[in-house]
Amino acid sequence: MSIRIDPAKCNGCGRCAEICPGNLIQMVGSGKDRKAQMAYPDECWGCMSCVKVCPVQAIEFYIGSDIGGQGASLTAAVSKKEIDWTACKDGCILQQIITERQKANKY
Amino acid sequence: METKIITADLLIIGGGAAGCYAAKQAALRNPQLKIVIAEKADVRRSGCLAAGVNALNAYITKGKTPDFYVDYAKNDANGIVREDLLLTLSQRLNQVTADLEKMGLVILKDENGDYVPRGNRNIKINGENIKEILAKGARRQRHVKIVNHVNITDFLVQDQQIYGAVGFSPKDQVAYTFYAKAVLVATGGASGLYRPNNPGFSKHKMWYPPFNTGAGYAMGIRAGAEMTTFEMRFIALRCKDTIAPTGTIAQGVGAKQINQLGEVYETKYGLKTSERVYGTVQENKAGRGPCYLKTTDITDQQEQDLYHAYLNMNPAQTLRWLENGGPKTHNVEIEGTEPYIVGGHCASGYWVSTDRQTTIHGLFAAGDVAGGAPQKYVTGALAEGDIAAEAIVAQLQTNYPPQPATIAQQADALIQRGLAYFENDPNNSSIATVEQSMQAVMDQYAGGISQYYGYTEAGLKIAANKIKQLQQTIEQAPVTNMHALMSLYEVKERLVVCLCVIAHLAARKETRWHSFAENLDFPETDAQFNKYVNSIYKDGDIQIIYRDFVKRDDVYEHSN
Repeated sequence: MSIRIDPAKCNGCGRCAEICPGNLIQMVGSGKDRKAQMAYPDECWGCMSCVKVCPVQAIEFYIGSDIGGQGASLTAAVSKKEIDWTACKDGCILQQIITERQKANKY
Repeated sequence: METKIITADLLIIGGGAAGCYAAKQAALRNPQLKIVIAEKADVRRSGCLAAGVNALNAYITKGKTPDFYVDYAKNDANGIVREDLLLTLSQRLNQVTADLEKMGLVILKDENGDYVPRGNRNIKINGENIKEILAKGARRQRHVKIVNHVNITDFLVQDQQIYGAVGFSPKDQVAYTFYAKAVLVATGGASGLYRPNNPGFSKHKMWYPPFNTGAGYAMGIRAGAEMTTFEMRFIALRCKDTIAPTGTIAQGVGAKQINQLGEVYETKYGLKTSERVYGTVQENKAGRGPCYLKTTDITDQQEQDLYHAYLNMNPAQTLRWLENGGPKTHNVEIEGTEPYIVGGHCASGYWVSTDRQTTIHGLFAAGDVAGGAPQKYVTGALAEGDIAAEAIVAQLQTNYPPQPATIAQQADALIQRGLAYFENDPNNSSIATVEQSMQAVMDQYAGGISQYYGYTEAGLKIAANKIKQLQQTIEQAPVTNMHALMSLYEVKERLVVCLCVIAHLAARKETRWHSFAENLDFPETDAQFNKYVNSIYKDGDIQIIYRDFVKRDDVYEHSN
């Protein structure tokens, strides 16, 4: 269970490193080359705080193969009104789900 | 390393639900107070609410009373509760909920504007951003200062009076000393004591945050604070692999627990929190496992609703369903987790007075770190934060003992000791090795998953000896960077908590709760133990104190 950060998408803003409740993400490099790096992938709780705070959707979450993950990933685009979740596998979209932030859970 | 000294009237250790709310409530009661929150991560997404929460599980629904809630929690815990604590928090559940809504939490309402209940005690919300809302509540107060990314490691205590705390910031490479007249400890409970369900790559995919390492308990134990009911471990019944909650499926779509033969077994063992875990354990032991929540008969709409609900609190479960087939295709396999120590679900924690002061003068406790009041959940933690804030504001108006000169020396010595860990021989056993050994010892000899949660006195003795040895070993573990230094402190904290858990398990010579404290030497409940098991750490050992029940209407104050 952990995250992958795409260095091509990462804009180096550092928000993920600030928000991670385990202090597991580090910023490396400087200037244009400043990028976020997951320093301790096996210490991730899977809370998705970094995935949600990333403004450019450079972070995806996946389930470790030791607990049955088969490579699918989850990303989130957060706006004021909603969170747009996308689950992908092998480059194909499994499903997109929009959760409205002003709507309570039915359960 | 840079050192910083911060002085405040009130230091709050841990900016979670209880800590953030206490800061706001203390500031509203006395806007002149200088309040500092020392937070291990970032208050916007720290602690057990980082991913969100699906419902508010403690609320007095229409027609019910605070006494109804106390009765429920007391019954669920088979009588081992502090009724005074439960009553005082229950009386504030609805006002803190109304306040939460005002602060921005989305709560489901019916056409009359009433909150929609989920069963007798819960209400439905969108809790994805609950932590951001709580953090904002604290941050908006003028004299509340938040220091993120600082790990508090030790209290500053002399003659049973608190004067502050010290800690380190791995991110900013700073050693901090905080001086304060009053301190609220709100660090949460302890995870990672026992070998987890999945000890490999996904070892941190656990029920409770792996970053809640029992620091608050450990600091209190070491400082000689009295603790209560550490033998009442919490074991969650969870979805296999993802360790996601099961209550949303069980209550949301009415799914029943079934064994591999398709038999509904939950009614056989009872519906209390511990009995639900125990039933699943018994079915597995009898060869009728694996066990499931029966979901294949739900509708397409219900399946989509579950996907939404889990995205708002545990997105891994939704991804699991999308990847491997949803709950309509497969029943959801369930399992018990490793045991945790957590005062928001069970009764383990600081022994506090009715106004939430610990046995160390000036040190208050609220939320998961405070004992005696199980089933408090998020709203109960807020209520306790409010109760403590009220008492602290009143106490701060009285005279305080001046800070002894030795306190600054104490702080300096604690920081120097932390820095000295960098000198440890790099060839010694690693921090991870000590952690794994600790978890293996607790699993095998103190009732972990591999032992179906059962233990014997003989095994507990072995566990205590091995844990004490590991306490020596961790002092020598190599430290190469600040992250490692924090890991070393975390393992140290967990080892102290383990020692306390072992002593408490041995002291309750009965089985009061199946699974939570499954004493194989004494498999029955024994009325002799209609008492609290408390403890104080003295001269390197946990000393047990049995205390009589505190009554519901009592106002309990410490006598020492």
